[in-house]
Amino acid sequence: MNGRPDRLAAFVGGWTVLTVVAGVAGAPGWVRAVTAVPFMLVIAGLGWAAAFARERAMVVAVSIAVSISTAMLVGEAMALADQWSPGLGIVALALVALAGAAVHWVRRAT
Amino acid sequence: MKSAASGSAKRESASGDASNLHRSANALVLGVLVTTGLGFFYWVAAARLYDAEVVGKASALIGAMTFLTTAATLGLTNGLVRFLPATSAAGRLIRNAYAASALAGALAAVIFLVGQPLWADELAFVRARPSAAVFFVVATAAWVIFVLQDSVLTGLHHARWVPVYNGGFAVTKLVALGALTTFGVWGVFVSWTVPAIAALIPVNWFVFRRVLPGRSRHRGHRRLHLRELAEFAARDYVASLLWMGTTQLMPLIVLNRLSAEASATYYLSFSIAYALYLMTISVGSAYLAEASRHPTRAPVLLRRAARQATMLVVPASLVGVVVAPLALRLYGEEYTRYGGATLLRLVIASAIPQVAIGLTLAEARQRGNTRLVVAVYAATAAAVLGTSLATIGRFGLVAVGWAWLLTQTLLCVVLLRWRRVAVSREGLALAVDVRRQLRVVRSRQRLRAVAADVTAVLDAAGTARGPEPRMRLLASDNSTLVIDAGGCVVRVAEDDAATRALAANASALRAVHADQRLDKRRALFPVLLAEHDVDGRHITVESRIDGVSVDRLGVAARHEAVRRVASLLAAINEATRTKMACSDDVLDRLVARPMARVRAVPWLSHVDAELASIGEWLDRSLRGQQLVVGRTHGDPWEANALARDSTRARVEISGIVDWEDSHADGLLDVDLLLLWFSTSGRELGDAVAAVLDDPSTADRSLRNALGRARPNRQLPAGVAAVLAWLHHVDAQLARNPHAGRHRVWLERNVVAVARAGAPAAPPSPDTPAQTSAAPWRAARVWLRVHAAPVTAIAVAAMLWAMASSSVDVATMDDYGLISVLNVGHATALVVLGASFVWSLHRHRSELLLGLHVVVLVGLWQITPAVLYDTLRYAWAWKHTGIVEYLMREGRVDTTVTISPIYHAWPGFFAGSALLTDAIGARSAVTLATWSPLVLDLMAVAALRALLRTFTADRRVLWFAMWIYVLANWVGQDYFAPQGTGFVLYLVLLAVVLRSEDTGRHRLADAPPRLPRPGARVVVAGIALAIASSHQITPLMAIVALGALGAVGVIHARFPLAVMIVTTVGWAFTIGRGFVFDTAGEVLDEFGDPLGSTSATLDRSAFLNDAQRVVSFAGRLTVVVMVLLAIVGIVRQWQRGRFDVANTTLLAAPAVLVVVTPFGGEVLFRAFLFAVPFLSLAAAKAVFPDAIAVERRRPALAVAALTTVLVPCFLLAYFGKDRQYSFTNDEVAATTWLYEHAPAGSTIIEGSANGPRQFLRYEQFTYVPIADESEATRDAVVDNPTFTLGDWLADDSVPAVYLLLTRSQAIDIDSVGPMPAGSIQHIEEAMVDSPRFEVVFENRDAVIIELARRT
Repeated sequence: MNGRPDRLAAFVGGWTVLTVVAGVAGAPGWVRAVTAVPFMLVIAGLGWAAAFARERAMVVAVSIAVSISTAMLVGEAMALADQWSPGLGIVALALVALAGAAVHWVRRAT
Repeated sequence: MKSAASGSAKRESASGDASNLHRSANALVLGVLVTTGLGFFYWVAAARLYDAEVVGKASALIGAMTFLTTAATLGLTNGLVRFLPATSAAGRLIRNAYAASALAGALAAVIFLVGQPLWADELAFVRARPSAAVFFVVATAAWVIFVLQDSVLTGLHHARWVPVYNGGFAVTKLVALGALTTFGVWGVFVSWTVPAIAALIPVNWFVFRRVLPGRSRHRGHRRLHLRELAEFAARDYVASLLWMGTTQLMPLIVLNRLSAEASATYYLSFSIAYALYLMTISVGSAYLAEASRHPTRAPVLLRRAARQATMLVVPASLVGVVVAPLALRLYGEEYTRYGGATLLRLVIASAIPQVAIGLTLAEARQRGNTRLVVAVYAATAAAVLGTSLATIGRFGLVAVGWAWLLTQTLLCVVLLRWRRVAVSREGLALAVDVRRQLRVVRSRQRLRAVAADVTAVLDAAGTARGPEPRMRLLASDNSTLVIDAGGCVVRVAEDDAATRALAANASALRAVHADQRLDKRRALFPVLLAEHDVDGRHITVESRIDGVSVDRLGVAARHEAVRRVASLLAAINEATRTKMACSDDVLDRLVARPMARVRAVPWLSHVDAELASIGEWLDRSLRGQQLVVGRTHGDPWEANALARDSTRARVEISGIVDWEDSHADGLLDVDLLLLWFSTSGRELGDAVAAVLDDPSTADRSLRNALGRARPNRQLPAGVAAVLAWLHHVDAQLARNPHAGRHRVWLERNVVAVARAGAPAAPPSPDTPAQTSAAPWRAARVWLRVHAAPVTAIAVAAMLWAMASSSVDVATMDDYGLISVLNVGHATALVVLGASFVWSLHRHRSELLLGLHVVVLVGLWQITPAVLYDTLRYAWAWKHTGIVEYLMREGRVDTTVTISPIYHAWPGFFAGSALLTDAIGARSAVTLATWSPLVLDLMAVAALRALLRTFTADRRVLWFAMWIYVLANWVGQDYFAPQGTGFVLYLVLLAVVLRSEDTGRHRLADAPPRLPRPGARVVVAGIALAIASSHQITPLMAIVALGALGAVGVIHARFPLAVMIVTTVGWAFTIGRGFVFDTAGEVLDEFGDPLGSTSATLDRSAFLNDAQRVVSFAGRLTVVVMVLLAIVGIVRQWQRGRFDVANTTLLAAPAVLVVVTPFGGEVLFRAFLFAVPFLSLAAAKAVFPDAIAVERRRPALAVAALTTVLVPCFLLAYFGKDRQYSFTNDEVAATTWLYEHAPAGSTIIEGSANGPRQFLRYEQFTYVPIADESEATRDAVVDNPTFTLGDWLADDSVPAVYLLLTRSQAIDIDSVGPMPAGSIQHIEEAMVDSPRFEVVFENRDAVIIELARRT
C-alpha cells in the first residue's frame, strides 16, 4: 500500500457519514433527500463497483445495481422479520457502503 | 520606379473600392430612409384621409402583394447583387431574372386569387371584378421587377440612383394617395402600385441603354455558370422565405394570441424598427456588390462595411430607443397600449446585434456559403417564433420584443464565435484569399532570393540547362521551397527543421539507390543529384519524375492509384524485409522518444495522463514481439505519389517522393495505415479513434480499401493504428514548429486519440499526479470544441422549459399531453434532434452524445412531473399505498387479501419504504412522481454498460440509446417493481456477458473483462433482488440466460443456476401462498398465450378516435422497430458479423408470451425486454460498418427515424394522460374518504382509474363498476339509483361509499367499457335522488352514501 488517499473511497465514506448524520440528527427533509437519495440509489454500491469494474460506465451501472439491490434486500429482511427500523436500515446500508469503499481502497493501494 | 507606381496604383484601387462601397452603402441607406420616412407619412396620411376599415383592407392587400413579391423574387435579389458585378452577360442575366420573377409573381398572384376565399376572406373585393383581379396580377408582376431594380442598380455599381427613383416613387404615391381618396381601397392600392409601374420605364431605360452598353467593354468579367447562380439563388430563396415567414407570421401570431389592436401595434413597431434592419441590409448589399467585383479585397471591404453600418445603426438605435413612445404616438395614442413602447424599444435595440449578423451573412453570400445564410434564417425563425409562441400568452406583446432582441443577440454571439472558429480552422478564413496571395508573393520573393544560390548549386551539379535555368515554384511551406528547375527538382531548406528533413530525404534517397535488393523499383525514387549548404541554406537537387500527384486524379483513378501505391510500398518493404525483436532500443525509437516529444507539447498537458497511458500500453503490447520490418516511406499520402496516367484502367505510379520520414527498418503496417487514414476522408484523430473503438473490423476494412494486409498481423490493429498515429504526429511536430501551437490541429489529431485512450491500459500510478487545474482545463477545451452542440442542447432545454411555462394541462384533449404542447416544444425537439444527428454524423464524443440522450429523457420525464397537479397513473398511487402499509405496519402480510402479490414479492416496496423513511417523508408520492425520470436515467446508464458489450462504435451505441428512449413507449418506468427489475435485468446481463464466465461470445477488445469472483457475487446479489421483488423479470432473466447458454454465448452455469435457485426458492417459500393460490389460473392460461392478451387488445373496440390514433402510434413504433431490427440483422449477417448474442436477447422475450399472459400485459412486457436489443439492431441497420467515411445517408436516416419516432412516442407514451393525470381535487376527495371511512368499508368506483388505494389500502374493499360483468354494468347504467342503491344498502359492512371522479369519467369515455357519458349519467341520477346523500364534493369528485346511513 502506498498510503495515497483514494478519492473515490473518501467520497463514498464522506457521503455515507453525511447521510447517516443527516438521518440521525433529524435534518430538514430536503437535506435528507439530497443526501439519502443519491446514497441509496448509487453511492452505497459505488465502492464495490469501483473495486470490481474498471470501465466508468460499468462502474456506474454496477453501483446502481448494487445500491438498489442492497436497499431492497435490507428493507425486505426487516419487513419479513417484522423488525422494521429505518435507522437500522440506513446503518446497514452505510456499513455495506463503507465496506465497499474500504475494499476499493485496499485493492487500489495494493 | 515600376514597383512604386504599381504600389501606388494598388493603393488607389483599394481606396477606390472603399469609396465605391461607401457611396453605394450611403445611397442604399438613403433609399431606405427616403422610402421608410415617406412611407411613414404615407400611412399617417392614409390613416387620416381614409376610414380605418379602408386602410386595414388596403394594407392587407398591399401586404399580400408584398408577400407574393418576396416569394416570386426566387432568390435573385441577392443573386443579382452577387453575380452582376463579375459577369460578362449582365444584360441577359437581368432580362432573364426579370422574366422569371415577373412570371413567378403573376403566377403567385393568380394562385392567391384562386384560393382567396380560403386564406383572405376579407379581400373578396379583389375577385369581385375581373379587371380588378387582372390589375392585381399585373401590379404584382410589376412590383417584382420594381424590387429587383434596386439589386440591378447595386450590382451594376449605380446604387446612387436608388434613392433618387425611390424618392420619386414615394413622393408620387403620396400625392396619388391624396388624389384618389374617392376610390376607397383601390385608391390606396393604385397610389401604391401605379407609381412603381411608372418608375420601371426610366430606370430600365437607363440600365439597358446607358449602363450596359458601356459596361460590356470592361475587362475582367467572367462567364456566369447557370448552375452556380441557381444554387446560390435557390438557397438564398429559402433563406428569404424563412425571413418572410418570420416577419409575416408574427403579426398573425399576435392577432391569434392577443388581439387585432395588439397586432396593429406590433406591425407598426416592427415597421419602424425594420428601417434600422434595412440599413444593415443595405450596407451588406453594397459590400456584396463591391466584394464580388474585387474578391481579394473582401476582408478590407468587410471591415469598412462593418464600421459604416455600426456608425449608422448604433446611434440611430439609441435615439430610437429613447424616442420610441413619441414615434408611436404619431400614429395614435392607442398604439402605446399593450406595451407598444417597450416592444418598439426592444425591436429597435435588436437592430444593433443585427449589424454583425447582416454583415456576416453578406460575407457568407460573397463566399458562396449560402448554407450558412439558410441556417441563420432558419434559426431566427425557430427562435423568434418559438419563443414568442411560448411566452406571448403569459407576458403579452413585450415577449415578442424580447424574442427578437434575445434571438438576434444570441445569433450575433454565435456567428462571431463561428467566424473565430472558422478563422482558426481554415487558417484565417476571413482573409484566406489575401493570405494566399501574400504567400504566393512571399514565396516568389523567397524564390528570387535563393535563385542565385540555386543556380550555383545546379552549375556545380552540372544539371543546369542553358545559362540561366527557368525556375518555377512547385510548392512551399514556411521553411521549404520546392522548385522546378528544368529537368530537376530543387529543394531549399531555410531553417534547422527543414534542413534536417531535407538531409533525411537525401540520406534515404542515397540509401535506396545503393540498395541492390530494390532492383527496378529504384526507378520509383528520385535520384539525388546534389546536396549543398549555401549561405545557411540547405539545398538538394533531385531528378524530376514525370506525372501528376495522385490527389489530383479523378475518383476512380485515384482509388486505383492508392491501391497501387500500397502495393508498391509493400513490394519495397518485402524486398528489404527482415525480422527484428522488439528490444528496449526499438521501443525507444518507436514509442518512447516520439511519445516524449508529443507529451512535451504544452497544450497537451491536460491529456498527459492519457498519453502516458497510451505509451505504456504500446510498450507492453510491443515488448518482446518479433516484428517484420523493412524500408518504409513514413508519410505515404496521395500527394506524395505521382501517377503517369489518369485513366482508371491504366493508372501507373511513376514515382513516390518525399522520403524524409523513411526508415530502413520501419513497420510497413504504419505506411499502410497512414495511407488508409489519409484516404478515409476523416481527421487522423477520428480515424485512429474509430479503430480503437472497434479494432475487430479494422484489418478487414484496410484490406478492402488498399488490397493489402498488414505484415505484422500479430500486432492488434489498435496497436498498429496508434503506432502509425504516433509516428505521424511526431513527424509533424518535428517538421513544423507551428503544429505544437495549433490548438485545433492538436485537438483533432492528438487529443481525440488520447481521449479514445489505450483500451487495456490502466493509468500508471505515477502519471495521474496532474495539477488540480487539469480537469478544468480539459473541461474548458471540451466545451470549446463542442460549443455548438452544447449550445443547441441548452437552447433546446430552455425552449422546452419556456414553452412548458404556458401549458395548461386542463385543456388536454384525448390525444394526451401532445395536445397541449406548442411550437416551442416542437422547436426544442428539432434543435435537440438536429444537434444529435450532427454530433453523431461528426463522430463526436460519447459524453456529448450521452448528454443528448439524457436531456431527451429529461424533457420526457420532467414535463409530467412538473406540469401535472399530482402523481400520474393510478397504479403508481396504488404502489405508494403498499409503501404506506410497510411504513405503517413495519412488516409484510402474505395472507392479505388485496394485492397479496406485493406482500409475497416485497423487495421494491421495502426498498422504497426505507428510502421514504430516510428522507423523512410521510408518503412515497413525491418519490413516485420523480420515479420515471430516475428509473429512465438508471436504465440509460445500465444500457450503456450492456450495449458496450456488443459494439465499440460510439455512433451505434448512442444511436441505439437514442432509439431506445424514443421507442420505449410502453410506460413501465413508473413507480413499480418492473422499473427497478428492468434496470437490474440490464445490469445482470452486462455483468454476465462481460465476466470471465462468458466464453465464445467475442467482445470488442476494448472493454475489460470482469473478474469471475466479483462478477459472481454481483450476479448473485442482483438475482436475489430481482427474484424477491418481481415475478416476470426473474422469469425473463432465466429465459435470457438460458438462451444465451443454448446458443453458446455463455458457457458458465452459475448465472443461470443462481437465477433459477433464487427465483424458485423465493416463489416456494415467501411467495408460496400466492403461487399455490394462483397456480390453477396460470396453468389454465399456459398454452393459450394470447388469451387474456387479446382481451386487452380487444378493448380497442371501445376506443374513441383519438385513442385509436394513440394506440396506432404505439403499434407503429413496434412495427418500425421490428422492421429496422430485421434490416440491421440482415446487414450484419451479409457482412459476416451476425451478432448472435444480441439477436438471442432480442428474440428471448417471445418466450414470455407463451409462458404467461401476465394479466394481458405480456405483449407490452415482451416489447419492454426486447426494445434495448431491437434498438441496437436498428442502429446497426443505419450504421452497418463500424468504420466508415462520413456520409450523409446515415445522418439522414437518423433524422428520418427520429422524426417518425418522436411523435409516435409522444402519442403512445403520453396519449392517455388526460385520464392518467389527476387533479388535486380528486386526491383531496379520495384522501377524505380514506381518512373517514371505517375499516372494512366498501368503496364503489366508476373505474379503477384514479388516485386510489394509497392510504389504509388493506382496510377497504374496492368495487370498480367498469370491472363488473357486462350485464351488471348495463344494469348500473340503465338504472343507477336502483342498482347502486342495493349495493350501497349492504348492511354486512360498516359503510359503503360511491366515489366518482373526473378521471374515471374520462377513462370510461375514452377507452370504455361503458358508453361515453356513463359516469356523468350515474352521478346526475344519484345526486338527484333523495335516497342518497353527497357526503363530499368538490370540482372533480363526489362521494355519495345512502341517505339513511347518515
